[in-house]
Amino acid sequence: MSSPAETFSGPRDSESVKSRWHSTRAQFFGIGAFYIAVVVFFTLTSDYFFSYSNALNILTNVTVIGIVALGQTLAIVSGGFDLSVSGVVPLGAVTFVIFSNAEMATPAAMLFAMLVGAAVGVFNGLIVTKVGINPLIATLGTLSITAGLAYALSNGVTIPMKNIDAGVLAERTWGRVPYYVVTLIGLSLIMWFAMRFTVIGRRIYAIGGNREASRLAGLRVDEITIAIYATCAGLAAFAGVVVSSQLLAGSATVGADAALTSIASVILGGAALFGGVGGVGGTLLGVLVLGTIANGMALLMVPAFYQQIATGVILLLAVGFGRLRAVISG
Amino acid sequence: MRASRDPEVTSGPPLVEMRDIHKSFGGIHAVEGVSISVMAGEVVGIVGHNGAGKSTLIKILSGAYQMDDGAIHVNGNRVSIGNPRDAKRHGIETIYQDLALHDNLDAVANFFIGREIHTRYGTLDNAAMERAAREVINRINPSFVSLRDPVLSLSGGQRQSIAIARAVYFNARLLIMDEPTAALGQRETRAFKELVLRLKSEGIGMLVISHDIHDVFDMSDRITVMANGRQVGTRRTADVTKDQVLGMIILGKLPEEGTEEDFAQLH
Repeated sequence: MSSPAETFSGPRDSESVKSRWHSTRAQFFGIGAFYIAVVVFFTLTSDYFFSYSNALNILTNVTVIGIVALGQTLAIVSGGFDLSVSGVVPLGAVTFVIFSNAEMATPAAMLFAMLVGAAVGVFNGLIVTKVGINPLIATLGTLSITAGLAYALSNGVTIPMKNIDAGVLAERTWGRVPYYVVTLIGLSLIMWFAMRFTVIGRRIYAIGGNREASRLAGLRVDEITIAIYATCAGLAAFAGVVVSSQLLAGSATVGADAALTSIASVILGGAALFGGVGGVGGTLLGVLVLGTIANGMALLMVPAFYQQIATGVILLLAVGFGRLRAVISG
Repeated sequence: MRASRDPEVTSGPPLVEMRDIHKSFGGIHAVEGVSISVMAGEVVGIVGHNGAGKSTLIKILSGAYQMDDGAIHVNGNRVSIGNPRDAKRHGIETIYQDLALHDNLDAVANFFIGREIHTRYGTLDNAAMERAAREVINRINPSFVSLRDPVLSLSGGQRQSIAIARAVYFNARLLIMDEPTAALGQRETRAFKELVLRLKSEGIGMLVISHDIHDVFDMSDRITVMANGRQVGTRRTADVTKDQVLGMIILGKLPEEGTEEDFAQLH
């Protein structure tokens, strides 16, 4: 029989996990510093950048992706991904206008659009947990289905909103701040509180940290996962409602970049790709970084396609620096 | 088997008894007709090669697997264990080899995961959880300090302390431990053996799987040997030698069944 020294094979192979954890925390502060640098840069290079009205511009432009990214934070922290948001945003946008045009009261139309989204999320959660398909593949499938469904429901054309009052989220303002920005702030506060201070929030981190241990600890891992995907897709559908409110029309062409930009924001904000680490604060910072760079580049009249390149470069740099720091610190 | 229990243990039904347990995966019989019992305050060691069925057996008891056939009794009453929650409800707690900790969470969060103390609004009562966790963890391991760091920064012994303290706090009556000393250094292993004695004196029964036959001899009152999913036999530790147990593991035969030739091969 082997001696204790020979059988030493326990869980101490976690050095890489350790540096990963510290690097994600450092990345949160790193991205904060980077954001300040971005703001300083555009303040110096553009006369129009540093103003209240431009700050409001940035906020209104990031709201849709911000709402999607809140849901994406849940999915990623719990150890998953949701690509289907790119299909659920247009599906929410189109169904909201269809419901509204069918003379449904505006709040009910919003609620039903979100329920359609949540149903897609339940489906995502079921195939991830019960069928055991990798979340990336599962939600890639539903992305295609929901995007196609949005086109089918709208016959591929933009449906104008008959009842202009249904655009209340964009039409009404609080001071100069549109309702939808206030909604994003409200949703963020609720989500931040839930993730930091509630039992369910703690369990979401636990599932992302060690799914099997969560099961052994008696957590209802599958049910929680399904609820997370439902919330994520429900929020994506709500983001679609906001887009329709802004456009006063429902179109299947909106939100195609939702998956990529929301995932980029969450990862930029310090979340771990493999789950268990991340949070609302970091995600919002990631959303702001990408939104502010897009805004600043537009002010500097850089063509829009370069923004896409910039987003990709920043994401790779942010993740690459985290990796580099992990390698250096051993 | 009943007759072999320790004289100082009070009479009555065993704390936990598994009777004629069967479990197959596909066509493979991982466990075939194994029966095992643990009295209060008793340590039973389970030894055998890799693939002997030890892990499958304890996973049935801890609710991770469902048995195909057999019965589980707790304090003489037949119970059904369909999932880990059921096992915990019957006072059966498991310390897995990888300890089943959440590396991204701190000791307190790990301690209470799934059984969080919360206010009536559903928010976490972190102060209450830290108080309770500190008290129990310090009792298990007085040198433990970093309750608020992610547990991946802790040593193997400290990580184990969390898992054991958690089980004890939640009123474990039977502790199942899978290779408890595998990730420990020599000093930590000694501390662990002392802890086992303390837990015994509190009436906690323990089922210990180990590769290390010396550790099993140090800790257990009885030893069950498994081979190829079957139970070779169960013996009081005091009644057998290490060589005899090794023979049971390697030959799959009881000492009295093996020929001298068989045992000659061992040396």
